[in-house]
Amino acid sequence: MSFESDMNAFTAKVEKRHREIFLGSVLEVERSVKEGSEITGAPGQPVDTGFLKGSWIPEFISRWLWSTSTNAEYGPHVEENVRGVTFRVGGPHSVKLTISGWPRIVDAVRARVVG
Amino acid sequence: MYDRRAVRLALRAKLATLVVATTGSTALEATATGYARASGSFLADGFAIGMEVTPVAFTQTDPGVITGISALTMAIAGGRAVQASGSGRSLQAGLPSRREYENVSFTPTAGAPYVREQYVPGPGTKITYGPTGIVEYLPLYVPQIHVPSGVGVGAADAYADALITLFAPGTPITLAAGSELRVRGDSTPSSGQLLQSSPGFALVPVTVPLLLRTRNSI
Repeated sequence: MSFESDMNAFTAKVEKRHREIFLGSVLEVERSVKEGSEITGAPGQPVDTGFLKGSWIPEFISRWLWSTSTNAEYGPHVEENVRGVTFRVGGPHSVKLTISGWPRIVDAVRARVVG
Repeated sequence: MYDRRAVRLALRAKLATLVVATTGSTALEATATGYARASGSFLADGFAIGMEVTPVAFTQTDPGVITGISALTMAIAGGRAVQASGSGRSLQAGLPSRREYENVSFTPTAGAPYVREQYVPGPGTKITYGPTGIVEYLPLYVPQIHVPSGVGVGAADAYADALITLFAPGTPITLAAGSELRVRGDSTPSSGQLLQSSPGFALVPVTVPLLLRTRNSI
């Protein structure tokens, strides 16, 4: 074993964990937005017909860039709870709470991956 | 201990200090249609159609909604009691006087802006050891400004910008001793897109991410 091979092994290990944390984090984001999350406090998408919840499409834009979006025209109205509705399942502000809770998502996934 | 009501009242008190536009102390005249000035500019002061203005040092002091504006004139819905030009007067657009607080019955007035408040408590986590360790919460405060439909984006954008300035990152919100509340800097206040809301109104939502630290009550 040389110093160079040690460094290469260490680099590979760090990159692998970095990738695992990234993938785990985006899965948590998707769960938080759609299903709700105890990490972020997001309630998840409300369900009446299920169209809104089913319309969220996750997408890898590049190796380190991921997004999720909806084409439901009323999505922003539900997110902001424009009408002041009480939802039976899920609720408003899930995207906001997920963004707000992003540092905790990364912390939670990092703890899971690294221990 | 998390005193949710105290947090909400502190946020409302901060919100009530909002200043969107002001003439400052100057010479102003009240006319049958609104207000007039001989110099300066209502437009340059930041006023826009759809804002609610509060007059100071006039005979008629109730707020009015701007329905038309130029540099030297400001039309107010319903007009004003006529009063000759006098110095030491001002007009100020602040937080609309019509406020829809959570779980309080509210009926919007056609053509008049109003604010609707939502407080999202957010998740908590204990960040220090021991039974009375510190618990950290990430609440959101979501004031939504509703402006009359069809008046463009001037008033909505100005309200949103003023709210974001009022709740600048790091701003402390005063609470009772033992608890700390401030606007977060890692996720800063922002406004969403202008949305059509109830008939006759458009709204701009502003989200204020907060950090609340309080001592565990066990």
